[in-house]
Amino acid sequence: MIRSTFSGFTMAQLALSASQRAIDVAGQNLSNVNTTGYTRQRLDLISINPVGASFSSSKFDNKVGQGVMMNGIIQIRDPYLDIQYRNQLAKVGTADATDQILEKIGNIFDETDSKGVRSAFNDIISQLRNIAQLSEAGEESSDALVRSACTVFLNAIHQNATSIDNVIRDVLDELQSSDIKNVNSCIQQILELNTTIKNTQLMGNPALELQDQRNQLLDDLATYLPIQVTYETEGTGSEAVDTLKVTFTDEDKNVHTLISDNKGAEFQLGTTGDGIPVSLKIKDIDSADPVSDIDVTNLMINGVLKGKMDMLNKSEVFDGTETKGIGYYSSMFDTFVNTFATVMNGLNATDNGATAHDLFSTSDGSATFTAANIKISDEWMNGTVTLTRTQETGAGGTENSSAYSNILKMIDELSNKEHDFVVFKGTMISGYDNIQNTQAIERKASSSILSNHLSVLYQIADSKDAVSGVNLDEEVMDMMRYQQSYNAASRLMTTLDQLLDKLINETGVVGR
Amino acid sequence: MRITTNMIRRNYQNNLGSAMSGLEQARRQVETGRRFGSSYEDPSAAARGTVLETRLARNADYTSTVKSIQKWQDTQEDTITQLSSMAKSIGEDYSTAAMNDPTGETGRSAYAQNLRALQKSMIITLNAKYGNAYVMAGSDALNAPFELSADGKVLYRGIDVDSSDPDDQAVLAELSRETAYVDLGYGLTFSGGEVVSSSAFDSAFPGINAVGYGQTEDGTSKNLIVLAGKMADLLDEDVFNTEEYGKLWTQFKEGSSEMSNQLTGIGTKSQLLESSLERLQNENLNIKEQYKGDVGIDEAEAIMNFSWAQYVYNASLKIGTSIFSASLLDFLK
Repeated sequence: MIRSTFSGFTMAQLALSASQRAIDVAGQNLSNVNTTGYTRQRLDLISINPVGASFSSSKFDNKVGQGVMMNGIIQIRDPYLDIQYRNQLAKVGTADATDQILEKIGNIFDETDSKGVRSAFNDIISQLRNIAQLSEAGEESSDALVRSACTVFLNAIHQNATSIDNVIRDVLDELQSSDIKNVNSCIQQILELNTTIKNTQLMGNPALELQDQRNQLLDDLATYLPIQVTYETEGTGSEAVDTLKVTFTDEDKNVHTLISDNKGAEFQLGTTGDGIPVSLKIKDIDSADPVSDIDVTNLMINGVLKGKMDMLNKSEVFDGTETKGIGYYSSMFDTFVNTFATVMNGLNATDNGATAHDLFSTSDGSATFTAANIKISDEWMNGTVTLTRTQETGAGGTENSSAYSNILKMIDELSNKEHDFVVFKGTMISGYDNIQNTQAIERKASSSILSNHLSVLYQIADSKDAVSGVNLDEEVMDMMRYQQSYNAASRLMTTLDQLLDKLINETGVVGR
Repeated sequence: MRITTNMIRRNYQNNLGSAMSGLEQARRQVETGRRFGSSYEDPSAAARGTVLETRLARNADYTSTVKSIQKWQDTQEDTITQLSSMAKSIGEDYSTAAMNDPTGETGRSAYAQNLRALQKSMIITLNAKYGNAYVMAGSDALNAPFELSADGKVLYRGIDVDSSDPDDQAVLAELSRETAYVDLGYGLTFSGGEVVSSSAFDSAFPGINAVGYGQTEDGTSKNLIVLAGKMADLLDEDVFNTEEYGKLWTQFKEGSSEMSNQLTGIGTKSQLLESSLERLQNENLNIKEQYKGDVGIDEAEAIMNFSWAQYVYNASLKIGTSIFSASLLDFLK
């Protein structure tokens, strides 16, 4: 085969531009080392092979390649790791949401390092003990002292009740004005990116950076709910474009399509009168027209949305669910308050309970006491009702002004007697302690689950990084490598130039 | 595995974060002397802590109750001691022999006057108060329990202690059994609505138990004050009835020795209070020790932990500077 005179120049030129482009890619990688979600890019090079039959093909005709060709710039990404990563993100999402809410509950009921309901309760017993002594007979103030100890106790209770309400409101607010909006906006942004990526790819650009952005958004979406991401190829050959499909499978194994190419679903949070329970609905893209909303409130498997909604909606034994949500703690607290007030009112009633002298009443007229509605009865406040010190009359009609056996019974009921607190029986204060202890055990579990999930997440992130991350040393090495190859290509060109110089300018000078 | 720059950075950041939180926890332990700040860090120790806190609060209640009951009981003891010495002096100075006084009627009437004065001071002593409360009044500490009526009757809470009416006797018997239990941590229990007497401390001392009430079979009063009054009456009479006086005096001596028994009883109760106080103080120490074991931290260990955490943190920082300063770039010419 006869070699074209200038063919070597093209080879050198291809090598030069390949090296140049490779350095550009290294530069791009270096620049984006700190860009979140950036995937390392690589220049795909192939060697140009001479093809086709030559006119005088013979085994002595040694064919050589014609240089290097840039086949494109590609991303290095392992889709399997993406799936793992997103699944793990959803788990971390649930654990994190649960842990955060439990922390808030802990701030209310955990009196390890502070004084609150427990010390106020103990103070009531101390004040009752002061009455239960003959030496205190006739001290008008002792009734008022018990009452003010009760006032402090009720204040602590009301404060906790308000704090619970605030936690509920905060979580609800986060869900409504941040989480659901984020989820919907993620979906919208992905839809827009889908269109842009498709258009860009149609024009022959792989749109790598846009795909990074989209992957980042998919990761964000995965913290809220478990998603499955699939890619479908539309068209063939140079017109092939990838379209994205994101689905979400609920606990009943129903598959809801969240994103399919340029169509997207929408989430809606429904609240009832005072906020909870909340409901979550999807406007699925597959739904028939008119669009029907699918309720998935209790069908979430994982994710921040599940964590928050479960904590808001569920209260274990109180509603037969399996999660100890905020409702569990507030119901336990209400039970404690109700037991306390009922016992005290019961003991203060006279004539075997026939004549009530209520110390506590409800502010809303309800028959059951809750942490929010309990108050000191108006009668006790204005002195019409006082503590019933004894249920007995004096012997033979004598006065028994300083008898206090009933107070002793109150002390006994408050400090020693066992009461029924739905999930266990115990002394009055253990009804409160149980809330703190349950919270502590749940939070310990949730935080260790969180840290387990996080460490798995970090491992997957490491594996992802091992494939897709940028290593500065590697890029610097690439820079050196391509600099060398650039130099070599330049040398190739000057070598060829010298060869031709010899051929053209210095050959055939005989006779000149 | 391919190692990337961001992987190193992220892992370093996570580890540095945990080293820092370890340092923070160690610092907090040293500062607060507690092993944990929130119950979730150690749920079982926190649960034991709350139980101990409640027990400590209860212990403080019991201790202050014992102390105040001790003062109350002291007043009761003083009262009975005074009464007892009065009764003793009557027993010694007013024997039948002494009354066969050669000075005759005049001498006896002086004795009678003395006896009446003693009678009054016994009433005053029995109406002793602690704070606003009458200490010998049983369940009616608001009103003076004893009264010497104009016709010489002794009334305990409005009832004639010398009454022969069986109804009155029954009421008096009931009043003498009045109790005022205080919970001093003996395991207060109720049985059929009544306090089980061994489970609490009875702080009541109905005054009639000290000076007696009712009559003997032959109709002699058992009450010391009434007896003193009757003795005075006999002394005032023109003809001294030695036999009758002797009977009263013998009964008086008997009542007086009964009062001594009561005094001994009170003494025993005071000792019980004393030992209760000691027990409560020991318990207080035990609870505090247990609390420290469950919730507190050994200072030396805490400081050592802190130093170690600080060392780890410093080492992490040092490693950080070497991770990020060096890269291939540093070795290029």
